[in-house]
Amino acid sequence: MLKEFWKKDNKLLGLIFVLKFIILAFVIESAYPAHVLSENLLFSEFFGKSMHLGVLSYYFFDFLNIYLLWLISKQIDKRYSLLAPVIYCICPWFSYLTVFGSFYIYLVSVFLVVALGLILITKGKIKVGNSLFFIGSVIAIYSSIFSILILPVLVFSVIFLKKIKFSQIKVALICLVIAFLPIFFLMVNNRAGLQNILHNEITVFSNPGILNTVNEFRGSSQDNGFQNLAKIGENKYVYSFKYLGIKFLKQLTPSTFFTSQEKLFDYSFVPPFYLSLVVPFFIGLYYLLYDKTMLKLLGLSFVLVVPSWLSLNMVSLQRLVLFSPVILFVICFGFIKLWEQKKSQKIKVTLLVVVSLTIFQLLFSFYDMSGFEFERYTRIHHESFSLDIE
Amino acid sequence: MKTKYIIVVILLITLLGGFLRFYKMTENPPSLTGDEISFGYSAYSILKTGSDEKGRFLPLVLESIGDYKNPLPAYLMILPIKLFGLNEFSVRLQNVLIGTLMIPVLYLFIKDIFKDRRLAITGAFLLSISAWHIYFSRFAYEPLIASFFIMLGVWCSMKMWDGGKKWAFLMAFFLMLTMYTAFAPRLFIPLFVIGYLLLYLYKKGVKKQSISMVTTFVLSSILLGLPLVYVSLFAGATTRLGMVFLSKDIEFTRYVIFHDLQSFTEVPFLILFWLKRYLNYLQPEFLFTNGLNMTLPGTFGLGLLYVYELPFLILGIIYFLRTKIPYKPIFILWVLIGIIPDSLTNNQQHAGRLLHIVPVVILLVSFGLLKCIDWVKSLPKMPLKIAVTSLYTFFIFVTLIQAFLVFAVHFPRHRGESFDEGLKEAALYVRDNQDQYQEVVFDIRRGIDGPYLIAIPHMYLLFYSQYDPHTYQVEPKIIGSDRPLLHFNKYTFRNVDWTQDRTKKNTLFISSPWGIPDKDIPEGWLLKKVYLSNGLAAFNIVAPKD
Repeated sequence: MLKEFWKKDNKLLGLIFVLKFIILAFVIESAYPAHVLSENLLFSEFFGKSMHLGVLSYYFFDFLNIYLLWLISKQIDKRYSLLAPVIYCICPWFSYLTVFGSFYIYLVSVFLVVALGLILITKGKIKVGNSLFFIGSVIAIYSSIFSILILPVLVFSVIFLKKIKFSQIKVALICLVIAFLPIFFLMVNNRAGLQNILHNEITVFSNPGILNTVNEFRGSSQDNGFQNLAKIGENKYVYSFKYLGIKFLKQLTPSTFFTSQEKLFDYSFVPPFYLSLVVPFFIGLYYLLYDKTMLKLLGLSFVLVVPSWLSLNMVSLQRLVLFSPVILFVICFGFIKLWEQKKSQKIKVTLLVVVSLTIFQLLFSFYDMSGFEFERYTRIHHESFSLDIE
Repeated sequence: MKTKYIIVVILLITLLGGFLRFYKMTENPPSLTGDEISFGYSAYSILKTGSDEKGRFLPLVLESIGDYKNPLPAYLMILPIKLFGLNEFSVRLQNVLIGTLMIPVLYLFIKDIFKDRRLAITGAFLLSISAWHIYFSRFAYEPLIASFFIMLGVWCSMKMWDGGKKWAFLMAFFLMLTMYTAFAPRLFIPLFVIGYLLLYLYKKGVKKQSISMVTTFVLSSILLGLPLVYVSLFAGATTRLGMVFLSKDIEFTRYVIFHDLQSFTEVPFLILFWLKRYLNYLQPEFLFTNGLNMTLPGTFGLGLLYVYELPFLILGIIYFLRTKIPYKPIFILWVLIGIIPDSLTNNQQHAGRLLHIVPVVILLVSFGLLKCIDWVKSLPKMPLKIAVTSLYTFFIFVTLIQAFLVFAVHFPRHRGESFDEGLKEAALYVRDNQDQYQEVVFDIRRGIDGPYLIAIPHMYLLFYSQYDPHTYQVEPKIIGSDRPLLHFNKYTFRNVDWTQDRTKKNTLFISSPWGIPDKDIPEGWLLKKVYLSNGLAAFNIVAPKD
């Protein structure tokens, strides 16, 4: 695979790397020193190493993600293998998370390795596929508690959808179970530790708002003589169910991905994906409606929003980045569908408009970042902003 | 199904919808809003004198405090006021009637377009129990009336190409009527009509007949719209646009560009901000939990749709996109353009300003519901069918209970203040006791915690005392230029400064508890305390004594 890296279209991939480098440099320049997250400072203090050492590793994973997306795209359709890396490269979500040193950029790399492994297995490259799947899964399980939920769902779904036969993945699964044993015993023997992790990661129920609402609503209903109705319609189970349902939907709302509705790091006006990409996204989604298997895969990929779903905030863009490759591939699918019909004058114009608007938004976001982003940060965080870094 | 049974079913559905809209309509919402009061008194004034309270003869625009209102709602109120007097019932009757009437009309519309009675009955039923539609039918809210005319206008537009010129005229008539009813259609209608005609001519080609229809429509529209042009250009009706345009949005000016829009380079920010607003209409909280704003933000109220309608909506959209449906592009255009007017305003999304897309939303949900019913019917085993149906029925039941409690209990408690609750009681007190005082001073500021609301108490006083409109039109008034002040007869409406005002004898003061704090009221001075539905005090009515 490494040999392939240096082949024909790899020069273009190299250009994408260069572009990514420029964008990262720009984000650092515009966000400095807001991007120094307190947890990274803490780790730096804890390990006694320079903070930049840790941050540099995120740059590595960001570039690795581009490479992995390219490899995956190549396996799906060689003709359009550079599309996903280009979109990944220019979209601000990943650059922001990298520059701010978000752990989830690393986790995206790990999940992409797992996905690549599974895709390679479907293409008959059993050994390489199993190896990548095993390595990725082990790293994922030992990195995040959510992987223990996400990975089995992903694996069983691809088997269930008959994309992979159980026999093809059997060895890797057995090895994975063995590799899982140490952490399993660790969890069993160290309940307090496990509870602590769960408490830190699953913060959705830390919101006292639901219980307060239930109490307030029930009290009012009882005062008005509707105590029996309130028991049925206004209890914590009904509200929790409703809250969780709405919160789950919120993870999948287009405005979450294509606008600044959910602000990156609570202050940015730059959207995770450029808004113009919503057009190929909807087109991709529309064509997915006609492909039952793809639709099922899309449905199963919703498990990737679970970490964000279980966070305290309505949406955690840091955690939701795990779902970003799915959005990315739907956008690519939309672009491919448009490209396939490029003979039509209407489609040609649509394509041209989308590409032009994306380029415009990319350039405009540079202007925005350099002129406004830091001011936004200070306005929103002015009370807590007290970093003094030379 | 036989026609007579269908008529009975539709009648029952309409009765149900009517009951949900009529029942306790004068008490819930808990008070007439400032807009309702203004419309009501303007209608009363026109009825009695032929002019509005400002003395304008048969006005085409109603001037309010710092605002202009569309005339049609006031004209529609004249007959109920004539029949039932100036009261809450007369003011709200038109909306309740039109809201109820929309149910059978929606049935006829869907049946006519889709030739599917089952779909039409489903649509009518869903509309009859729609919290979104019920809520805005229960008080005088002009976009609801506009939405009715828009539905009729779009229906006529669909009939126009095969039906003849009368449909073109009717289309123009109903669509232009909406522009005299509410502000959102003034943007929606031109955009929709242009998009609609271009789309049709693009698809069907330019033919002699279509040219004739378009000409009839355009000429009728120009004729019917001329007064509107006059009003927009010369009577100040564009004031509202300047007040509510998106560029004045607090989030935009405070956190996006940090000042008012100044230069051309900042326009892309505004466009991006608008597109963000536009996509926000798909937010699940807005659609399912608190879009109607009937409870405080962050709590569980009601959205445009009930939560149980979510799967129906998704299925309906998928079905709609995948199936060949008559006038599909028109319906898409209806929704996509329908969102534009509200998205361009500087408030958060407002369910009321989206009422004109209700028919399409209901249609989508109906498609989904019927697909779900078909799916349940197709399940292989009866116990499975029963289990699925029972479970979902229970879910619907729980949701409807919650909706009932929101309407009956939480809405008045949470939103009483937004509906200017308390002003009626205060105005009635003034009406009944004013003879004992030389002057009545009413504080125009209100709010439980502080002066964050500006009310129009003089309109409540005029309304509830049924103040003679002619007297009000001609009597001298003092209007403050540098500070808020209105004085006529013995009434003064201004900010109350209790440190100075407490020395004024023979004067009745009405102010919020922070305007005249309880601790500063000597014993015997407090005549009445007016409370909101949530038990908090709205007003102190005080008369200083020796």
